[in-house]
Amino acid sequence: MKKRPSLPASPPPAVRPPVAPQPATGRRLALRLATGLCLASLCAGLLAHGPAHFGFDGFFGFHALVGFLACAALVLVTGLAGVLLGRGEDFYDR
Amino acid sequence: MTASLHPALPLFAGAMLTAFFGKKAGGMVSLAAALASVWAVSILPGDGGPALVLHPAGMALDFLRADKLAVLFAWIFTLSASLSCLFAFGRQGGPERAATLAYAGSALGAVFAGDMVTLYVFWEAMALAAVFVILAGGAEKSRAAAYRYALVHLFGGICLLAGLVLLAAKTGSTAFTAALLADGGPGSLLVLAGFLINASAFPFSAWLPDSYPESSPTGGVFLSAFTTKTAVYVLIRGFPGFDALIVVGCLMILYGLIYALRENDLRRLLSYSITNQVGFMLVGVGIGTPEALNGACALAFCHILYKSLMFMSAGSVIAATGKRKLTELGGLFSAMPLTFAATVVGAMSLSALPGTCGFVSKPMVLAATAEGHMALVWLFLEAASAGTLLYAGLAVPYFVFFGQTPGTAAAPKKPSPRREAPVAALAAMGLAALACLGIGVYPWPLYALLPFAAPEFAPFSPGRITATIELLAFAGLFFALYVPILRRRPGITLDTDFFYRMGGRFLYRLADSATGGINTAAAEMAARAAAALDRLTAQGPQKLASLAVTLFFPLLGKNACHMRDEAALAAQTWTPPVGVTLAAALFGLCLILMLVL
Repeated sequence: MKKRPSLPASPPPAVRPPVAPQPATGRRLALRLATGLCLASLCAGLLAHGPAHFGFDGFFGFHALVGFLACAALVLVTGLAGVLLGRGEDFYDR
Repeated sequence: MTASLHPALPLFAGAMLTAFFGKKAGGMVSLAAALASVWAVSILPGDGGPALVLHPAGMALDFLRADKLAVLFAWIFTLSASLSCLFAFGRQGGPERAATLAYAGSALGAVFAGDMVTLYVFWEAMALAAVFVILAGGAEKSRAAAYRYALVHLFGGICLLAGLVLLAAKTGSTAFTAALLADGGPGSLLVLAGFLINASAFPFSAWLPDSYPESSPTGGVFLSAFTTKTAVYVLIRGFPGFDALIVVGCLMILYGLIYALRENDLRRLLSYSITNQVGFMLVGVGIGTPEALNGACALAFCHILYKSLMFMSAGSVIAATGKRKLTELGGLFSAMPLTFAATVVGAMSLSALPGTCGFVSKPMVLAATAEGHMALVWLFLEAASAGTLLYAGLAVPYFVFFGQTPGTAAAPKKPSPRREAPVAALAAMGLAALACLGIGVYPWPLYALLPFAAPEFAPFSPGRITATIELLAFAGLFFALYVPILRRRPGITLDTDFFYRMGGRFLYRLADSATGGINTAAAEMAARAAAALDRLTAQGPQKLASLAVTLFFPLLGKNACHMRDEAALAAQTWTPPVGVTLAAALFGLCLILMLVL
């Protein structure tokens, strides 16, 4: 069998590209960390609940619920604002 | 008498001198001026009466009302100016150095102003100096933004001046006191409007994210500290307990949250965050109890610290990479670890994490709403605190220092020259971060400075700490879960500046077409008039001659037509026959003799 002529080796890149992060691994780690923090904060809440001012804020996990739901509501409102008010980068330059 | 040295004087003196030096020597002058102003504040009497009053034209101009409220703001203004000068050391041009010092000095002058006239003068001086700070950004966008900033603040200044004049006409006084402004008449409402424009209250809020990001990386640090906080100061002094400010504050909080969460430009995001945090302060001012006002003061103090820190780190990132969009930034952690650490301290302080200065100040406002039985406002502020972590507390450190935009692996961005910030900048960031953490764990010196008599706030109760951590941890979990949808995208979000930016263009086009139309009509009229004049001069004599001959048709017999044509030709060519000319001359002389005799 005839040996194929080998192609000339491509020169090594002058600048090494930045090391690509591994988002999946990082995100998994962040999720675990956040979950651990949440569980720890809930456990701490069992020991010392925040000051209840109005009655509705006295149940276990109230602040956790507010924290999560507020973020969800905010993202929804922001998405709506984006649909209504979002424009291209050059909107004022046209 | 050193006790009467106005703390703004060293800054104004520095502003006049610093432009004559090179970058490093000028930086030294700026820093020395800022430190001298800190010293001048330190020797002021804690709760003294007016120490510097002039009486021109029958008015009492009080330049140095050094009570506890003014001194608290003077402390943070001078400290912030010193840190900002250190951050900018050796990197500012002469005009920018002069403008930033004049800006800080004017803000201090406004804080110590004991009457409305003095306040107005320093208020306008502050706006003017800020325009030059923005202009020092050097780009075309900076010039446009500075122009818009000047227009908005000119409008705010006119509101303030009109209110001041109306109040003076009504009461005969120009004193700057809450009692004088409490009448609710048009004068005090105009003054309030002037203050709210500077506070970036919605809908007069767009000037802030429009202008601050267009300044230089060093200029933005100065800008983040003074204008809005001076507005908070004058609102605390002039309108404590004005209920409408609670609604205005809540609107600002919501506006800041939504726009910051969509914003792709790093410093625009931080600018929206300023409006968001000033909203908390305005809620405190609107409640008006001593606890709430102390909360607004403490939050303003801490906010200047952590927002300056975040603007410093943002400026460092922009100076190092030349990029300002979150979609273009990312992965800077290994190149700029110290800047990252400073950013994290600033972001956590902004989010009011226990152990940072935000935790010992922002909950004071929330506690005041709870004590005032404002359940909805309290719940809204609690939710907004979680949102703060979402839009900046985690987003800024993550997207700038770790985040990679989608598609990065397939098409890696061209590596940009990245390096850590200069030593002076790192020192300034380090000091600011230390102050954030120091106040966070030991807030009592700050509490001792608070001006209103109220029971001391106890931030470190276990319940409060666990509640805050619970709130922030679940907000953090949301961020970790939904980071792909929180990733910023290229584009802008229309803000209220749309109306004056596009409205301005519309007016320009309208004026252009209106004046252009008048111009065209005038040109057409002129052309027609010229043509008519041309026809008149060309054909007028000929027709006149024909008409004259026609009058004598019955006398001329059969040669009449021929003579008429000859007369017309003679008039056209200016060659009348001698006989006709003599006859006309004779006829004319006879006519004159008849009239004379």
